[in-house]
Amino acid sequence: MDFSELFSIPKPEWLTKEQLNIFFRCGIILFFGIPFFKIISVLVGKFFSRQVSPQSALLAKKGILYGGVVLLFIMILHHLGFKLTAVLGAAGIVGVAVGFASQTSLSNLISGLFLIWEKPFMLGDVLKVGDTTGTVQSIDLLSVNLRTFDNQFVRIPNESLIKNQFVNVTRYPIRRMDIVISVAYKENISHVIRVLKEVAHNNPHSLDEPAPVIIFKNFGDSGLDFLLGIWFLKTDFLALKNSITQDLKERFDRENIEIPFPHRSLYTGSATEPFPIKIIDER
Amino acid sequence: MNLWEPRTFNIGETYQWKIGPLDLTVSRSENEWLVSHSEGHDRLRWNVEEASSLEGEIVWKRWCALKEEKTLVVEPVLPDRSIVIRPESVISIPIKREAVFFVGIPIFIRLYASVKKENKNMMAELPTEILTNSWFGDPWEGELCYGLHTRARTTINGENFYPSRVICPIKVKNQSEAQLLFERLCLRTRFLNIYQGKNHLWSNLIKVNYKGGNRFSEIDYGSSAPNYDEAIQRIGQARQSPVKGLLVRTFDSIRSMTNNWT
Repeated sequence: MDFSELFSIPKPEWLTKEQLNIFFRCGIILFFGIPFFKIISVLVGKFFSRQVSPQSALLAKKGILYGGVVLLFIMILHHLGFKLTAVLGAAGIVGVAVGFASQTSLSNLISGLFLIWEKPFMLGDVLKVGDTTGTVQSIDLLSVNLRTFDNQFVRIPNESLIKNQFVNVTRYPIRRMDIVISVAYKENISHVIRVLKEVAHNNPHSLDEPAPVIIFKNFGDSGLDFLLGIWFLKTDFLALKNSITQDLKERFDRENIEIPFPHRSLYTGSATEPFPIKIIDER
Repeated sequence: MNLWEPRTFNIGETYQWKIGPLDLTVSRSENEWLVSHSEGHDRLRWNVEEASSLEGEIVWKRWCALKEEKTLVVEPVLPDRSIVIRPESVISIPIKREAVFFVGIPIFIRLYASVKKENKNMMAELPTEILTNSWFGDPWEGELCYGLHTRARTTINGENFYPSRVICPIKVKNQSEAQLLFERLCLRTRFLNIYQGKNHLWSNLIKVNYKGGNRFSEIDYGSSAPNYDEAIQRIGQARQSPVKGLLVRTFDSIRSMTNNWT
């Protein structure tokens, strides 16, 4: 088919009719091919999202799109008259060269495949990686993208997630919040434990089962240290965090339980001798 | 006074329900319903009356409605989550024995605005008592429930139940080869209807066959009124159709769970 005559397009002198037709064919391949593979990838993504995990669906979707683009590229090369065997041979040599030059990217790519296979986290999970905490927005071939709670975008290379420790905060449906509380040495331990139990029980975000954990930890520098561990639904973290400290302070005030500030005793070198005081008369 | 009777409101008219600890105030204006609720402490209240004047500060929630939707339907329903029942003291059921326990479960109420009784739009669902959150299962996999401490009475004669609670009869049969320690029981209340008895509200009879071993029990949530207190009339429908012979984890031992969590 002669496209230049079909669309009545004036042909530049430096271009032959055959060359113009080839460009038209390539244009048509791109014009229809890219939307076609985009639609197919969206449909495949939707289909897989019902069958498998969201990240596997995302991987299938991207695989179809990128695979399709490569296929279109090969078709265009074919139309432009390149011999594919020679191109693929050259691609092999180039691949080795590029492979050496992009070891980090390949490492990230393979780490990404391991992460998808191992499934240590899913889209929407909250991850703590080093000092960064955020929600997993996407798991790509080279990196995992997090959105922090103050709405910043953080890109973490897959390789670092495979090599280093990270915490999936929301993996399990319930969590325990541990709060260390100090009370003055004069306080009755049984009374403090009873009050802590009641505060935990009365908080609407606390689960009654598993029961709150209350441990008398140790004799601290300034007071008696207790650990209060309250189980809660993972979605209630902020609500519990905000309310429980307020509940504890209010209840301790009502019960006259003293929360101690750090105490320091100063000695002049001998515990028996009084601390010397020098009175300066400024007059 | 029948709390569940549909009431037709004139514009500006206000009614107050006192159902156990729940204070519920409903008023109607031309194009909307106004609903206010708060939690009190008295669990013995059970009445509805027209309010001529309102005391204290009322915080209203508003629902848009058609002018023709003049009727308010109030229906009781059982809680929206399963309930983990913990007897105040551990109960032992010997091998091959059975026992019936009566457990009072706080009701929720649903408010519908309607033109006629059949054509109704739900406005709100409110608990009559605020229950604690509880977890049934393992910390990595389980079910969010409400927690309820109960006396798990074995008779209803001479016993007082709060009026805002549905009496749920549970027949437990120990078919295992070991004594059953009834420490915690997870009750899937979504399968239960509510029936009006002569003196109390009732749910279907629940039959639990404990077979031991893997702790999975066969449960029959029933579908008909229980044979107690002349409870015949169904006034509240189950959220989900009952499943006969459901096999689910129902009993749990507190010791086996808490030992691993500290």
